[in-house]
Amino acid sequence: MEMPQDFAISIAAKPGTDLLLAPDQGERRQPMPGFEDTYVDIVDYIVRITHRIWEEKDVGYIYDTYRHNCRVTDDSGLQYGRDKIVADTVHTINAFPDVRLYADEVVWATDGDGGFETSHRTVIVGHNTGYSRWGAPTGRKVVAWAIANCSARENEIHEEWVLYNTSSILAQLGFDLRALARETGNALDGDPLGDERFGEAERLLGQGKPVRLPPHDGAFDPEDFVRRTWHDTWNWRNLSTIDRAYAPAIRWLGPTNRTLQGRGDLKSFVLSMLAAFPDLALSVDDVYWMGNEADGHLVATRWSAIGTHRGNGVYGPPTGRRVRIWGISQQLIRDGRIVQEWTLFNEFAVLQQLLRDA
Amino acid sequence: MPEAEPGNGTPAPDRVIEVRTAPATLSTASPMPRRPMPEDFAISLRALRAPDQRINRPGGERRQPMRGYEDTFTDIVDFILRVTHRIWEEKAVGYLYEHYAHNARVLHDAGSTYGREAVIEATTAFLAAFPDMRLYADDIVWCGDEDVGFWTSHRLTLVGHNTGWSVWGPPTGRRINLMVIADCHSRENRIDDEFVSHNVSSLVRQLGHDVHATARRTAAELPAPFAEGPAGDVERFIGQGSPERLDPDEPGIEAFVRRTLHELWNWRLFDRVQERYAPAFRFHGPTDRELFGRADFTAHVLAVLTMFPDAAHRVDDLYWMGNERDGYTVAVRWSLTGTHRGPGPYGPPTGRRVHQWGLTHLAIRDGVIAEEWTVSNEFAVLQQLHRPLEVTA
Repeated sequence: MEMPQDFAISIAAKPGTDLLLAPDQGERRQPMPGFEDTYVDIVDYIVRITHRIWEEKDVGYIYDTYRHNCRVTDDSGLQYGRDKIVADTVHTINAFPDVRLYADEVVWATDGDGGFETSHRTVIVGHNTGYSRWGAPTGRKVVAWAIANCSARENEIHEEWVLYNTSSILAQLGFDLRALARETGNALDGDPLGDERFGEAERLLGQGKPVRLPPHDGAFDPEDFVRRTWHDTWNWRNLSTIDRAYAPAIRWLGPTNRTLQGRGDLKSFVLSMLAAFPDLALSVDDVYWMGNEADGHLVATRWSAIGTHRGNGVYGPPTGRRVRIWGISQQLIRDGRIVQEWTLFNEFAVLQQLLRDA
Repeated sequence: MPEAEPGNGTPAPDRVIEVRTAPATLSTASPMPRRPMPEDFAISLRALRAPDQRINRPGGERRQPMRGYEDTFTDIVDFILRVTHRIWEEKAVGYLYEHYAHNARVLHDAGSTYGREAVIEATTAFLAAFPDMRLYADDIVWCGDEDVGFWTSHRLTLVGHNTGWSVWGPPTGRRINLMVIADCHSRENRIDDEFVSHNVSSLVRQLGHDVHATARRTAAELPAPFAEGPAGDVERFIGQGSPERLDPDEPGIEAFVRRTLHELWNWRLFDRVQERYAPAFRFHGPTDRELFGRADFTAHVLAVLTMFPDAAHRVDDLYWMGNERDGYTVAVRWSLTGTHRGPGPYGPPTGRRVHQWGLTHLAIRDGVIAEEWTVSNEFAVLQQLHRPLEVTA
């Protein structure tokens, strides 16, 4: 992948919706074979197709911008195909007719051959005045931030990983999250093989130690930095990594309206997860970034973790169930330290798996 | 990272290399964007003869490079002054569409809001409650340039009458006089990040309500958090250690302020008040605190640290203008995290962890702090002490 070395093509470089949403954006600013002429760069593409589909409610525009067999992995699992995306979008706009999706930033990279990766951080604001799969309209206002990672080529998204922060939305709608997770978890199909506890969470080889990452010398490499930070924190359980990698005034936003203040809180959050899932193993699945030393780096990371619920915590008494947690994080790095982080994971699905009766 | 296998974060385990490269340290310094500080008061409120004249006769030659700002603004102080006037006093609330980014973040006393629409809603509601509100500018500390944007710390006095409904209830008819500080980052005519304390505890008090009772009542209405909040170490030093030692000889006003705050609040070296504050030191604090002299201020610090014995102080942002001859004005955004384990004005200890943050202006003359203005989220702190406990699964 080729990473942008500055923020020339970014939301930050185009302040204001007047510019972001204007139909005439001028000359094309980067090679984008097969994309509609109206889109001048990949950030423009993401922002304006989102606006058109969700805010102008041209839901059918999904037919022009998603591949027929697109895979979408969202908070609740894998959704297959363009028609499912159309149906899910209609469902959500029906539930929140005044929904707004404010673009916060798009981290992107390209394979140099017409393919793009984009990580779109957005804030969803709307009122629940229509029916949804969660029941009758509540009239409540929802403000939830979300991240959508898309792979696009020739005007079409062919793979998407998106976290809508469902647990936060449901909490804001007034639901008791734990009761709702139990009720809806019971309604889910059981695991086809009956027992999910098949393998070992892959972190150690037998009695061994976690893998040591080779030392990195030379210039600051954002990918190496974030991989090392995730691995040393979560797999090695060396929490002083947080003191080295994060700034004291870290602004950390997490799923279900978590806001952490400072490194001590972040360490507590990591400890609480490791205590609930003692065999937790995390892998970094995808990393791309934009920026440079002087302006800082904004890194998008998709990660997943496997763990067995064998400890106490916010998910209740241990159930012995295996869960798969996956998430997307964006981290703003300045002078070698993370100064801001946005992290989401499929928390409501985790709750459903752990709290259902069967 | 060439060693990594595709699609997996961990490389093949054929190399054994020491992970730990340096001992853990708790540096108090947060990376800040690079930004120039003004070394005089040429562009400042104090250099403006009669700011009201600026409001009545706007325009003029541009006095500093400000790419993207409307031509009518001569400098960044003029921008802040007149945008505030136009939005609040002329009630051109919709002008916010020009001057706030669609995704502006605002951290205020009660939490954070996202986006321009939320700013417009809040401004409308405030004006409805106080239709004759005046916003007098007392000082604007600024730094930055047109490339990285401008940081402005705007200290104001709000004066108005509560003749409309507010979240605090029906109109009381009372007059309020409120110190407020708003820190904004703007670039190309738009504010995209704001930290503002409206001194809500003062407001509630001046409206005639009991601050403690109101905090308790409103806290009971807050939703219980899904996951009980932070229980981690308050970050002041590692384990059995001692606080970081800052270089006592580092020159510059920024180092002076950082050293003073760190030694006073984190080291608990209360003698620093005698050394670094003027004999006639004046302190204007949240909830209408007015303290005179060093002894009163020391007592205030002692009272806070008694209630929160593990409290850790952190400087989150700091910028300044001035020079040795003219003195300095310094804007500090700070936070104080601690656990409520001691007696004091907040009532019997609750054992609750609280996060207090605030905005401070310091006037420094002849090497000592002569005057301080501080606002904080004190009302939210009281709510944090009284908020409902999480219902666990």
